[in-house]
Amino acid sequence: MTEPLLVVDNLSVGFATKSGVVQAATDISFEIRPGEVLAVVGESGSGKSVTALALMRLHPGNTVITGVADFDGQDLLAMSDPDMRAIRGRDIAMIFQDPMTAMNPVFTVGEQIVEAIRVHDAGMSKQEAWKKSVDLLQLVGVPEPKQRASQYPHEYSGGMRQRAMIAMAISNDPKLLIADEPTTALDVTVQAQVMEVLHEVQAQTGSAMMLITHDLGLVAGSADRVQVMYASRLMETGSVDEIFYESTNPYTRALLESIPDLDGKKTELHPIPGNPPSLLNVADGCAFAPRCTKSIDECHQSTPRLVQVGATQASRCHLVDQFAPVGAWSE
Amino acid sequence: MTALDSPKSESDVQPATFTDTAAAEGLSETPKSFGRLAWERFLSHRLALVGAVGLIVLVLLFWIAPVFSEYEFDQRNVADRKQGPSLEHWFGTDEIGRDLFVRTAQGGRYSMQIGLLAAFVATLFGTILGTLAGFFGKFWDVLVNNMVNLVLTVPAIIVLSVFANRFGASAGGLALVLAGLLWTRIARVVRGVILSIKEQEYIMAARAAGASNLRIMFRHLLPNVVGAVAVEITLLVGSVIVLESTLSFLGLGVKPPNASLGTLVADAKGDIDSDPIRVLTPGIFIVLIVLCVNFLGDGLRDALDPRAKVADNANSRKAKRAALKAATLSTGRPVANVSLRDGVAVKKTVDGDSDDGGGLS
Repeated sequence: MTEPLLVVDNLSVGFATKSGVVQAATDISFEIRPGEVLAVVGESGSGKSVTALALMRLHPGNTVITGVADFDGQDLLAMSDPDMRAIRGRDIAMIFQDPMTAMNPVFTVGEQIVEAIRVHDAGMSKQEAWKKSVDLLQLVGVPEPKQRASQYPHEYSGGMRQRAMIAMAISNDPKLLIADEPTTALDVTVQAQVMEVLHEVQAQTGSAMMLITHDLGLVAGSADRVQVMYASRLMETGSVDEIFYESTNPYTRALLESIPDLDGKKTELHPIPGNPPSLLNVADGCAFAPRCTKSIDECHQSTPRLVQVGATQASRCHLVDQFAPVGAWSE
Repeated sequence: MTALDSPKSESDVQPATFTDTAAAEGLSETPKSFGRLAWERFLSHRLALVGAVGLIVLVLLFWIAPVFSEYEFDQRNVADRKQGPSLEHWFGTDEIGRDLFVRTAQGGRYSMQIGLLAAFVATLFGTILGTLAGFFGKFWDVLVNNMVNLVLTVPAIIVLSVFANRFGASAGGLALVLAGLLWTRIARVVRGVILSIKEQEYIMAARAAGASNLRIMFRHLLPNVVGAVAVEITLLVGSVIVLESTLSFLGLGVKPPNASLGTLVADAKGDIDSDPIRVLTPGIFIVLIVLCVNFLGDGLRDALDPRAKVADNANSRKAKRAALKAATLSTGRPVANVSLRDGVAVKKTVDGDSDDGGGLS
């Protein structure tokens, strides 16, 4: 196995507010290898985006971060601001959720890509950078890239804009792409196209990708490994097959249950009842216990630990033994 | 391709119906630059055009016309004192026989120069402080807000009397004094715009791409401020001219024999019963300058909005008539009024109930 590109160890992110500390991410540990797609799934407010923003150090001022994020031998969370700035966009690039607001309305798309290139490569002339940005637009499947480069964001459709965002993100051949719900704001047919572009691009550049989403369909089709988050904690992590077919966590199973089945076998949807808990002054016990159909007394008293249940799979549940038939995960 | 794309009908891009607007937006093949769109929107704004043309005429009148006059602004001719308008002296003469046309032109030049200079200095100062306050917040925000409050609590006319008396003899000095009082409005506007823009996702995206604070400020925030500031500048020019005239009227600004529009009014005020025209002419020019500048600002505000898409204009009668017609046709009911906002029509039927423009598309 190749050396991991990013090793995150015990990352915790809290927001200091007037009414106390909101714990948005608790003891998150994971790694990403070059060329790998790691999907991070979970409900809104489960800490997916916060984790990504903390890695990029783009969090607001009142944030308390602890832990280590070793990227290529450097700790992202300990390095100086100028060093971090050099890494952003060059080594780690980010694709944002809403392509409608992630571009500056007063510059053409081409100008914005040129800028993204020249921030990290001041030696490149504007003409060269412009040529490169046209090539990039071509690469991500924007038709007539020459004309399109000199258009403004508002002249692009949503899908085109997201393609342009991808072009901007890969303009410096980053080692790691963080895609924060890249398809949430797009309609379904465009989602598929954009994901395809992301995959092609990723295959060409060999970069790793952290795909943040709450769309399990997207995960099944595109991820290598999956990490399920709930109420600031990792609930389960494993390969796509392990998560989808051999899940050992009631929360993951509930999530999978709640997907509508297109084969028509099921007639009813099974939503998870209730809402995620407040992350302010979290009580003891499993955060999912109040909504869990299988919860026992112990679930309300102590927080379960993340237990390794296979070579690559780990689950946070007191009842982990009941879910996993012995040997099911070892092939 | 529809006919809307041919260059001939370029000026007809104003929406005849709403489907046409959509077509013009979606199908235009050669992308128009922001400047080009802004220019088109500006041209479709009638009052702004009136303001621009008026200002050009005034500039020509103040700067070029006196060259052809045989009189100097300080040339006395006591024999011809206090004359009314005539072919010889277009605006008449004052109490020591100076030609009032030449003096009015000189006063107009002075007022315009002061207006532009003070507005420029105030904008520079206000933009820098507003950007610092909006972008960095905390210490800078407190500092700038307190500075603004301090300036606003100071009784303007007293400060102006003191400082204008000391520095007001030169145009530059007076402009600086006025700018020192008027930068607060710009600072507040800039701060507000920066506060809202810096929370936009594209600022976060720029940061994620590795942009530094300075780059974000100059490349991403300030271009968004230009529209709002351009409008403020024009309003500011108007205020400066009025204030300068006031000060000069009170004898605190320009010193004789130089003239400003304010001193001309002051000189003539004693004879207002017998010779009201001498008071009126400089007064009318003050009003004309300020009016034209404000019209211009109005047009700039519409033209420089980076989110406006097509060269449509909410006040355009042509667009409004077309929408009114379409609304009447689609409902079968007479429609009393229709207002266009962001390309969406809100119509009000005669019997008073209003509904949104769903039926118009």
